[in-house]
Amino acid sequence: MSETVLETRGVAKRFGRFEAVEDLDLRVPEGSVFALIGPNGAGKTTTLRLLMNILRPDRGEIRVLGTASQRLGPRDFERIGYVSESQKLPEGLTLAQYFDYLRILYPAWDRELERALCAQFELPPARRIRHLSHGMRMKALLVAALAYRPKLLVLDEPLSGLDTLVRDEVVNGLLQQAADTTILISSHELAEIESFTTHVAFMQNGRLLLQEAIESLQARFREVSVTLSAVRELPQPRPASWLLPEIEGHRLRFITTDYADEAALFRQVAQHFGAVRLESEPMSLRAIANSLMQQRKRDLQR
Amino acid sequence: MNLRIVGAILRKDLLGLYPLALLTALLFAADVFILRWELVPLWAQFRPLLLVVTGALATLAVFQLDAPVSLVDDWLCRPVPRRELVVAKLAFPFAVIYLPAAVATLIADLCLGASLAESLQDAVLLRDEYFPYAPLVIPLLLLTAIVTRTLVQGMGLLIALFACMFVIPTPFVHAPDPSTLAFGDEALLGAGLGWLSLAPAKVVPLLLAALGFWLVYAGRRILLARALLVLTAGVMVFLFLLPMWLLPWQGVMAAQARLNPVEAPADVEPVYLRQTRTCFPATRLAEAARDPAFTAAREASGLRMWSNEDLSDTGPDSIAFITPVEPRRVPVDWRVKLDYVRADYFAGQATPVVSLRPAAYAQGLSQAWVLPASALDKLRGRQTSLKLSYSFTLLAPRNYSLRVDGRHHALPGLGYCSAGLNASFDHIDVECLSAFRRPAQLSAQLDDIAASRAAAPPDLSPAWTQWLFSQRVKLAIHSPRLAQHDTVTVTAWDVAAYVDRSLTLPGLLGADSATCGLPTSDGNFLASRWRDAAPHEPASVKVEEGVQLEVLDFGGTGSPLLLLPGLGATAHSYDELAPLLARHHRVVAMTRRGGGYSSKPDFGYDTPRLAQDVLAVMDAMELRKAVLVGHSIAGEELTWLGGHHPQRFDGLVYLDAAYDRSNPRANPTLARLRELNNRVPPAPPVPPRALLNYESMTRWLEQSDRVRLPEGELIATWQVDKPFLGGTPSVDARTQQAIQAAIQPPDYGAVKIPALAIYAIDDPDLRSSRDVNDAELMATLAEIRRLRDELQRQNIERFRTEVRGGEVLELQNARHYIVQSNTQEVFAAIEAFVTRISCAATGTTGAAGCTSPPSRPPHH
Repeated sequence: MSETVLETRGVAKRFGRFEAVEDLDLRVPEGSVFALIGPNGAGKTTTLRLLMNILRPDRGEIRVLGTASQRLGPRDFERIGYVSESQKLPEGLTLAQYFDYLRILYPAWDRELERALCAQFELPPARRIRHLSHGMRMKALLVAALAYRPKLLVLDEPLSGLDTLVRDEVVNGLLQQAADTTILISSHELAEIESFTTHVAFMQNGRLLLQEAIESLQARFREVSVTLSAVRELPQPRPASWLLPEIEGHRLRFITTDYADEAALFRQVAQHFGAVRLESEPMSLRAIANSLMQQRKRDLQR
Repeated sequence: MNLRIVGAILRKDLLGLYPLALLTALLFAADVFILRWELVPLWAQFRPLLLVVTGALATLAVFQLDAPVSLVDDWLCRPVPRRELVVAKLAFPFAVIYLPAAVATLIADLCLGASLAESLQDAVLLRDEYFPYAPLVIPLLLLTAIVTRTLVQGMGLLIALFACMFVIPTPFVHAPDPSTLAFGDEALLGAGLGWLSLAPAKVVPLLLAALGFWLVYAGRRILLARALLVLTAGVMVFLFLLPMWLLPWQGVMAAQARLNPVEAPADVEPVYLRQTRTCFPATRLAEAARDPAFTAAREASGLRMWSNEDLSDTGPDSIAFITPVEPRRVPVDWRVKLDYVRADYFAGQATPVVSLRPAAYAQGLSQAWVLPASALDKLRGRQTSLKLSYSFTLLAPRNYSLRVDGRHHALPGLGYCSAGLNASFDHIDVECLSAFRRPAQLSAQLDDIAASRAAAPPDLSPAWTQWLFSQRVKLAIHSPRLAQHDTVTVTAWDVAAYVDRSLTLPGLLGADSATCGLPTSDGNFLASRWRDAAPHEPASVKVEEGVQLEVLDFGGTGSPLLLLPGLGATAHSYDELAPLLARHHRVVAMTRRGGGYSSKPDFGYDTPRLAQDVLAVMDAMELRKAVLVGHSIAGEELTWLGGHHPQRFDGLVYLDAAYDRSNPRANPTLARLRELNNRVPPAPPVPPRALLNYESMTRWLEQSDRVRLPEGELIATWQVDKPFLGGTPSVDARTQQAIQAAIQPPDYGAVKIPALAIYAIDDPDLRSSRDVNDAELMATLAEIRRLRDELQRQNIERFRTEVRGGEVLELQNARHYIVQSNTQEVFAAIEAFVTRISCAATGTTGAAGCTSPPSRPPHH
């Protein structure tokens, strides 16, 4: 888990005056399930397109499977799977015809795996792509990205617009068949991906706010509730590791980003407020993301 | 190149677009069959748009199926090599457009009886006459296809581009200045020089399109590619419309001569131009369109209507005029193809005061012009001269004889041709396929009837621009019944030389202003006073349904004489001899079909049919029997009738008519004579003063040492009484050539009735009253005289030996128009001959008149 499958350095992309991605430094370790999360418009899709050489960066360097993104060629794409919710398919083809076409493009295409996946996803091979539902399209795309066992799978909002049942089906399929694959998944549906991501990167307004393994992230983020002995003001400046601190009467709430243990947290709070009573709760990925987002919003407003 | 991947992409595209692909393929295949069998009326008119739109949709759709400008297309993150992708995309139009058309062509050709070799060439090679502008559309189409995402976007962009390229600039495109060469139907294309402008307009955008592909597929430089599309459209406008403004015609001709050089330049030094009328037909513009006499003059020059621009832009006081000019000493059988002409008026200085471009173009060198009133003001009262400058191409023929049997025949060096009568028998369809290389022009005609020639548009492009293409030319020879048509002549014309010649004439209209005055509003041409006062009663005799012949009854009593004119002449040519003969005979003269005031049907010019006409006239005029007198070519009818209907004729009188005129091409002496005659300068055109009346014309003819024709004949054949046309022969070339083409060797042995052949010996026309200082001319005339004498001697001997009882009278120093040059001697000889045969018939040699010798005894 030490090799880097995908790496960017100082990548930036503008569309006219709009800075879509700025100073992006991303490292996706081999074997990880790397979630790129962020609100709509954060720059996730642009980032993935930059990684896949669909767009060219204005600045910076991108290496995918050891190759500079701008040099990604057919050989590299034989080892990369890419699925996007907005992917345009040859609508007039049946699924079987589409897979026939792809089979020739990928030397490593596994016909058995294709059949198995189709069976698992209950895909009708004789149906034309234009007649597939959104869920079926996404499943078909997954088959088309998994059947040649890619080393890297890049998924751009693969779960968006899917109902819960299909979502579970897709996620299960993904996890079963991509055990050895590094997965980079962008999503704003955080609850669904939390269960299987190993790493997470958070983007907002084109910038990367953080990236790390999900265990350490969840370990260091805690929602803290403090009962103060007296009504007090928030310390200025705000401690760097506190997000969204708020005082209401005798109650202080904040989110700490460097939680180690209760004792250390108590010491840190006591340093500002004296004797207190303190409770800390672990946070979900969604809650962490929300807190990061809100804090950034507040910072920007100031 | 991984062909497996190319095949996979192509298969995917065909499956993905199968309704459109199928429709396109069917349409392009059906087009071949519809055109070849003419299944749908007006298909030729709307097919280009239909095919272009369908082809464009198919091309746009296939590129947009894996749009290179897209951010969401499936192929972007698949292992699809760019090269294979582009090849597969280009293979799609090949598969749905080219291949179906090629297969359909192969099947159609084989069904129509073409050989496999011909069918394959026809099928495989590109047919640029089907889509003359396809190479102009393709680069824009391809560039549009790779920079747009949807069909609507693509078609919208294409329509916008074409509007910007061709609709918006139209108001700014003007007719060219005289010193520039116009692009379009009138000049570059009409002259076959279109390739000079079209070739770069085709090649450069294709190279730009290739650059666009590289930018999009290799570099993903979409914005640059879009800019390139606009640039390409601009370049095409520049190359396409540029010649309308800028191309100097001398430069164009120089480029043509350099890029398509003539392999062995012909010696064309002696070729020169001459005006065929002293004063050019001219009228005020106000009257130009509605003056029937001027319109007749324009049509006689083979000129089309004036353009509106010419009629409206220059004002009613402007002068419209026609310059009837002909080339001389062009090698026999060659043709002159006009490339460009301009007129410059000079007034003493080296630079022209006024320059004109033609207002109406013709195939020959005759042109129509408009001298604007404003320009006229600049020239009035000055010593002016008119310089007509011509650039033309000399075309040398390669003749092929093609059977009219509907089958395909290989013609070596040309290609494959077939000829067949159409269903309604009113024309012969000739179709030729040339592959890899084609002649500068292709024509087809009835054998030996050049006037029936149908020619394809000329194309002077060099061979290296043609190797990828085939050309299918369809020609229709009209009036097939003019002559025998078991075979027709197909001619491939090759460029033999490029020639620049000019003709400088004094005054404004072909001669000094005293001779050729400007037309005025009251119509200032000198009213002519011509009258046919000969003592004859004109009649019109119907000899066949729709065919009326002019017959002149000179009255008289006694044994009847029927007079036949020579080729192109009419019964009026006997207006002076006939009254003399009418003293003792009933005299009737007739004009054969195809000439004078007789009908000119499209059929019936073989000698037997013409002879039937003679019998029909005799029946109508109630001549049971007659002595048949014929001048020149009438010898054919005489011999045939003498052999086939001796019971209707007492005797035959050949007036310089007993010659074997058959198959002139096979006779080397005749061929040489043709060549020599081509070198002899023609008589000068008739001056206006000579056209005033018969007396002035007679004086002029005598001064010019030319034979004097009867007044009625001058009116009938020289149009002397017609303004603008006076002095111009009114010959229907088609019918006259048809008569000559049908001539068979004379069967003198079959003639069983008395016959007298009078020969004009030592024609003074061939001695010279011309320029005796011209040694070459003298030598030419001497050789002509020698060959003519030799030929005449052979014919005299043949007549003498083959016609039993045939008499020969040789009139020394007589002209071919022997009736006019030696009227009295001819009269006396005919009188004596008739007397002899009537005495012989009655066996009363002692009767009155039978003993007296002819005024001049036949020379044996």
